[in-house]
Amino acid sequence: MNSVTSAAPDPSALTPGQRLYLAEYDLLPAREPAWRYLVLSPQRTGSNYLCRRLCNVRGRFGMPSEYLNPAAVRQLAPRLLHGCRPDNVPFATYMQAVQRVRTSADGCFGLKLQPAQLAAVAAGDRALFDFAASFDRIVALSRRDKLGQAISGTIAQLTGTWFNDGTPPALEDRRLPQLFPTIAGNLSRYVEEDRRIAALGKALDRPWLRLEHEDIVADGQAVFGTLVDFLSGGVSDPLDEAPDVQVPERPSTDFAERLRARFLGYINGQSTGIGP
Amino acid sequence: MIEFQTFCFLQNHKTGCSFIEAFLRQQCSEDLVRYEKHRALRARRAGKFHFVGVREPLDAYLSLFNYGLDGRGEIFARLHAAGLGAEHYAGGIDGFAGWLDLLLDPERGASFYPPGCESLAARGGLLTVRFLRLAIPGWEQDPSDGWRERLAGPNAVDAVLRHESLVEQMQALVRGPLRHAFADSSRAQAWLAEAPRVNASRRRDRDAAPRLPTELRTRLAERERFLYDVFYPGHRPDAAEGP
Repeated sequence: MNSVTSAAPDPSALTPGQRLYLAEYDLLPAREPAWRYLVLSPQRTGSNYLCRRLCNVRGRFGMPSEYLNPAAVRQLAPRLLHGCRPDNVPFATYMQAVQRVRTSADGCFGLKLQPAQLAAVAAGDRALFDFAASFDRIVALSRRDKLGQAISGTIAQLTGTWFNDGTPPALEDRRLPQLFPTIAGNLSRYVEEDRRIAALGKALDRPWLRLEHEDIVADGQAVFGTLVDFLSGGVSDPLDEAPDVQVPERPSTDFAERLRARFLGYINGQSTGIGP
Repeated sequence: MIEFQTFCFLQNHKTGCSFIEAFLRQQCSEDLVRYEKHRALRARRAGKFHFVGVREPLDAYLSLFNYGLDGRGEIFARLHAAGLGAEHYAGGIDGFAGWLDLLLDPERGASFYPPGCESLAARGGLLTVRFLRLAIPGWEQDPSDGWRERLAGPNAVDAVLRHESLVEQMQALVRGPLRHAFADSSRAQAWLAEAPRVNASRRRDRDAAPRLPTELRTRLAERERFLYDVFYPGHRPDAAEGP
């Protein structure tokens, strides 16, 4: 793993996602996991909502987060692997160290993963299969509205805000056409990631649960219940939930809808409003 | 349970469910939604087609026992963990009668029922309970009488595949209610026609059928009466010769 190069960031400048990698969120005492689950989540599919709610369940389900995100590696590796250079982190040793401090009292460790994050370590469908096969249960997130996903991803890339706090993005409408190539690129990426994950589900002999963004938006509590039921193997013990970590808000959709209309107009041959 | 976008297959032990699973994974065009082998549903998935497998009980028990002789299966694992593995399996196929006697006993056999179903051992044999909890979603929470009527009702599965005609029935589903789920139905039909063996146990009883005392045959017919009455009325082991 050599995708990280800078020193530990200023805690006051951390995003909600990055704050999860601070020591205060370690689950102590350190322990080895008895079972592990993987949340395969392409961007903008609702994984922040579900994983943060799981983080807020005391004593169960670990602290699922993107531990292979370069920002996480940059924060966690120097802290957990003493003397480790952040630009040369041994993958297996790093994962073992993370698991030891992010396994909850029920022996559970959860990892949220964007396929591209694994590709930085080991690329290809075989690597994804082998990695996923090392987990006991797999949750796969998807979004039926791929264009909506691409638009949301583009807005997040542009604003640097991946965690919805309900604030609409501050972008001028005249700049919208500049986003079209990125939307198209993201659309292609998300379609391909969805295809890979769907193929993985059929190839992998592991308990599998596919959840869709649209259902989370429609009834987040019901989808969370399905997820808990799946991770619990059908054993319905009451949950001890606490607001330990921030759960994202429902995003403002006005800007995204304007961007969608302009993008669809563009690919249908209407003027972008810029250029000759 | 293996659930796709428009249908759900409830996987019943030793009824060909691994074969159907392999078929669906390789040939179905839909995305896999949920997979937890042998898990029962609390309620039907709205708008989806549901189906399950069944098998003539004596043949199913023989298959289960042979599976244990292969060192596989949940019952083998539990017996082994209880220190009873050698007692039941060391003698090979000759151990079948003693093993079946244990499983048919409502008290001693209860621990081999699905988790949460132990108390239902008094009401039916292991195979009947395994079938009903899959075929009638939510049955475990309400195992009241009228099973046959409930199985035919709107809250149960839409189709039951008999192990004895598994390929033909699955082919009919692909031609019928599930045709939309197979983009290349010709390829799917060809896969079924080849019928590769998947997760099958080696059947020692084919060469030398184990002898079963009349009392045990009668008890088997009584304990699994629901399955015999509904699916195998002409196959009751207390009315037939051998094994």
